Parts: sequence; C-alpha cells; structure tokens
Amino acid sequence: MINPAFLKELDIFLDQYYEQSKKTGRYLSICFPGKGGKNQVRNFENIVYTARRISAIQNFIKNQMGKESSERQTWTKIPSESTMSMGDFLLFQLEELIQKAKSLSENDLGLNMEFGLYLARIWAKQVASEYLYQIIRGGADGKD
Amino acid sequence: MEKIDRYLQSPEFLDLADRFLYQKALENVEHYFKRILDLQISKPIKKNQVKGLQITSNEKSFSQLYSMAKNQLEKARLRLKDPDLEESRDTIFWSMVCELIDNNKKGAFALKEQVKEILETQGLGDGTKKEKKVATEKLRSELTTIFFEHFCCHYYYLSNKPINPV
Repeated sequence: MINPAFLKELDIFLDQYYEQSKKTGRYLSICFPGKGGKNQVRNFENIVYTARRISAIQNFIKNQMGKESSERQTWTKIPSESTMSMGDFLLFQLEELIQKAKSLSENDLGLNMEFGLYLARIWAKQVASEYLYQIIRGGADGKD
Repeated sequence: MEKIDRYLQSPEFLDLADRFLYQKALENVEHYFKRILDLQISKPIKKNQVKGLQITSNEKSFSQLYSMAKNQLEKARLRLKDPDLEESRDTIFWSMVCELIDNNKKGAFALKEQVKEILETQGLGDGTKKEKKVATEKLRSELTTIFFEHFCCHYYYLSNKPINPV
C-alpha cells in the first residue's frame, strides 16, 4: 500500500494532469465512436487495471496499432487538432506518467513500479470517463 | 516458495523486464528496420513470421525456440540464389533472432548470457544441481517470453508506420 504522503503527491499530480486526460478521452471519442469502439476502450481500461508491469500497457497499444490496416483506422487514426495518432498519443502520455513515477520514487524500484501502475490506473479511469461522457453527448470535435 | 520464484516477483525483476529488456528489444527492432532501409530492401519480414516467433517464445522451451529460429534462418538461406553473398529481409531477421537468444561474442546482448549473469549476481544458482537447473529453466522461460513480447509488439508497431508498410 502506498504511503499517504506519496499518495497525496500522486493525486495532486493526477489532478493537474486531468486536462490532458480529458483531451485523450475526447480524442478517443473521435477514433472510437461506435459500439465496437466502446468495447475497445473498455478493453484498454481492463488491460491497464490488470497489468503487473507498465510495459504490458505499452505492448497492448503497440499491438493494437500494428494490427490495423490503412483502410480501417482507429488506434492509428490522427484526431483533428492532434499531430500524433491515437496510439502514439496514449504512449506519449504513458511515458509522462512513467517519468513522474520515476522522479517521485527516487530509485526505489518497488515504489517506482507501484507509483507507475497507480498513475496509469487513475489516468485510464479519467480518460475512459471523458470518453464515455463525449460519446453520450454525441462525440467530440477534437478541439481542446 | 523457491528463491527463483521470489526473484521473479521482485521489483528488481519487474524493473529489469520493464526497462532493460524493453530497451534492448526496441533497439534491436529499430536496428533491423535500419538495416533493411540501408540495404534498400523494400519490405521487412512478414508479420506472420513474427507472430510465429511470438507464439513459440510463449509456448515452447528455450532450446525449442532456438531450434525454430535456426530452422527459419536455414530455410530463408535456401531461398537465396547465393546464400554466402546475399542477404534477405528474412535471413537478416532470423540471424538477429538467433544471436539474441545465444551469442558468444564479448559484450553482445543475448538471453542465454543474461540468464547466466542473473543466476550469478542474484545467487540463484547456488543450491544443488537440480535446483540450479530448475532456476535456469524458469528464468530462461520468463526472460524469453517477456523479451520477445516487447520485441514483437514493437515490430508490429513500427511495421505499421507509413514508412515501413509490410
């Protein structure tokens, strides 16, 4: 269990990061608009929740991106207002969380892993909630 | 719980998997794509061959995986007109995979050597002969599965980038 002092720091960071997570949720609603899309996002959320290592999440995203053809793009689609594909955007944000966990854990490998997974799980929850909200509203236009 | 099982669940091992092995896998896949580009080979190896590697690394033993890679390399060589002078996307790929599994060159990264090193540094091979054998097998299996999972996923990812259509 994470020490309350660290937990507070992690939660403050997540609150500050919330706007970025919302942006990702909006992008997801552009790339995964239909029912099949909802399943994909739920699946992504499950992977994040059950992962024992951060790399399992990175590998999942890369695998999904690698499966797609140019005719049908979701993970590889570039949302309007973004210069990166959906998958690359998720990987980019995940890397930011990894770096945050690293800076807070100060070379403690156990804490680093715990912090990284904690940040990723709450981030995925924020992202998926915004995605569902946008879907209910009828989709986003990709603008910030 | 055995010492090896404790190690495989330790933060040290999880960190090794997430950082060191991840980085090595990425470097090697990127090196492969660079070689393909340098040699002006139009397409990298087909995804189904990479899928085969991923499945074998998950389901088969270390030695079976090595045999499979050597076998694939041999088959790829036989498809060339002059195997001594020519290289193809397949021979480059499978010879790299063989070397990633077992390579005696000094300073080179290879899974077999990594296992040896971890057994020594973590004191996992200190018990009886049987215990050492069990530890070696478990470590080889875990390391190989994780490494090739990183490797194959990064391959799929890069192969779908506009510059590398498979």
